[in-house]
Amino acid sequence: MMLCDEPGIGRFRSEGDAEMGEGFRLFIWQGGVVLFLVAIWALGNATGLIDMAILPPVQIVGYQIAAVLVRPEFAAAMGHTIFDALRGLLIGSILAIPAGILIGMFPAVERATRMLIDFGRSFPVIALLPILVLLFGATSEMKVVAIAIACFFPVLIQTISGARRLDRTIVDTIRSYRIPAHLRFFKVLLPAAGPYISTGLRIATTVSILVSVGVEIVSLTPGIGREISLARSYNETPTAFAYIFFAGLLGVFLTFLWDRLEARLLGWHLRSTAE
Amino acid sequence: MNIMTPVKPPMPARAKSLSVEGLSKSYCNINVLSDLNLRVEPGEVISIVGPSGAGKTTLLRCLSGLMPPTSGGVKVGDEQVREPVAEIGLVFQDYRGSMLPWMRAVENVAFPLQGKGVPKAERLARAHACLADVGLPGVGERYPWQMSGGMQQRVAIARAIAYDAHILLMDEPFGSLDAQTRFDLEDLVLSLRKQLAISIVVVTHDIDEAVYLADRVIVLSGHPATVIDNVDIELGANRDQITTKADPRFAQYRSRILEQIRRPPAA
Repeated sequence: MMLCDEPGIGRFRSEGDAEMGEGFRLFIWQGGVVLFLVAIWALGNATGLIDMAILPPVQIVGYQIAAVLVRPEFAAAMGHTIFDALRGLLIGSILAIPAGILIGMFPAVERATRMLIDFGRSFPVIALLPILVLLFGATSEMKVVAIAIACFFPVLIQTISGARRLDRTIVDTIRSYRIPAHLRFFKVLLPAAGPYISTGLRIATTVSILVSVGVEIVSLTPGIGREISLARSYNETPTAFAYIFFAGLLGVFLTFLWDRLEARLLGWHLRSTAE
Repeated sequence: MNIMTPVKPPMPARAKSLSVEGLSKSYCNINVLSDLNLRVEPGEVISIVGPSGAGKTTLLRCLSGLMPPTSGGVKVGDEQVREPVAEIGLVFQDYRGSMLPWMRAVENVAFPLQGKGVPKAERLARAHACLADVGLPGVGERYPWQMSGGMQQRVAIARAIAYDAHILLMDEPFGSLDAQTRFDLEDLVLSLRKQLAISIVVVTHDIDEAVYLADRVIVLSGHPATVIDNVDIELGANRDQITTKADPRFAQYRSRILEQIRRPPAA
């Protein structure tokens, strides 16, 4: 713990280098697992153990992945899914973060709302779809509302636990220096809850894509889900699989982006807990 | 060490005494503090010692307004302390918990000033100056995780000074630090009181520290705790770790206090 001149910095770089080698090895392993599963798939197709109607041959799906990429509707579908997912994520989080901090600030409010929140978080948003369609029609707005509702709860729950877990000495410090409420909110509780909020947002990012694609499949609103649904109804199973592949890839990509952003925003946390 | 008697710095007009009148505190019907009376004059340094579990921290929390007393009261000047007041700055034992880890040292020091509405440029300038005063020039840009325990505790002291507290309350401030760092920080406290003419109340279980720092040591003991002794420490204004601690009077004060603390509570 006793750190000398400019600690962290030098040490961090060397750790980063080690991580680089580690990361490359990890990448090889992860790639290996994928190749292995693809090989089993190909083997299943070749031996006839896997029904072609359920899981089309790997090379056909592979071809479709490439073919779908150049279709004009692909970019549009991807754009709709991402744009609506992010809008929903944004709306849900903007509502959930302040609400979570306010709830976490006051133990009485936290107790009073606990049951409602437990109810809300286990409530499947897809079940709300018929009502949302009734209210908004099968539109992008309806989709965004569904995504916002689904993203609201994981962010809210994480934010509440972050705001509640304020160190006792920090609470005393803030009180004894008479820090006014708005500074307590923005400069203390918000950053203190930051690591938790970040976890909530990471979960919510995945949820936003899931719900976006799910709602598109059911309601045929524009997006990847709609393309999956249409491909299936035209009996183009390989195309459906190609879109499913891209939906998954989107999740991987967003998680990667989120990792980068988190390291940038919460560097203080990663480093002060690194001991 | 300067052997000439230092000119006592002029007492700021706003300097106020801290007084405790008939203070009692009980939790769930268990009396922790009973009918405590004490007074800290402007510019005075007092130590409060007592066996562990004597309610020292409870007393400090009552003094700072963080905790309401069950009966009696605490006054700064003529004003009753019910909530934390602007005249008092607190330094906690848990320096790690009292720094905001997402703020640089200078931001931590300047933060309470932001609460007071001091403009940004002014509060940062003051924070840098106070960091220099506590022997940390040029480390304002570091985060708490880039500093040792002793440095973090210096930042906590700088924060109290920047806040313009003229009563500094310290709860076992150096208890978690190694001996050498503790000595350095004790000397820092002595030099600050000379420069700034602030009153300081140090709660500690370390009798050497209590005697070394204070003009007066208040000994708490018993269940519930009361003031059992009030020892004036006449070791002068210029003290240092080697000669002062070797002074025979130092040893006398030390044994007098130790005896009080170890004496079995009267049946």
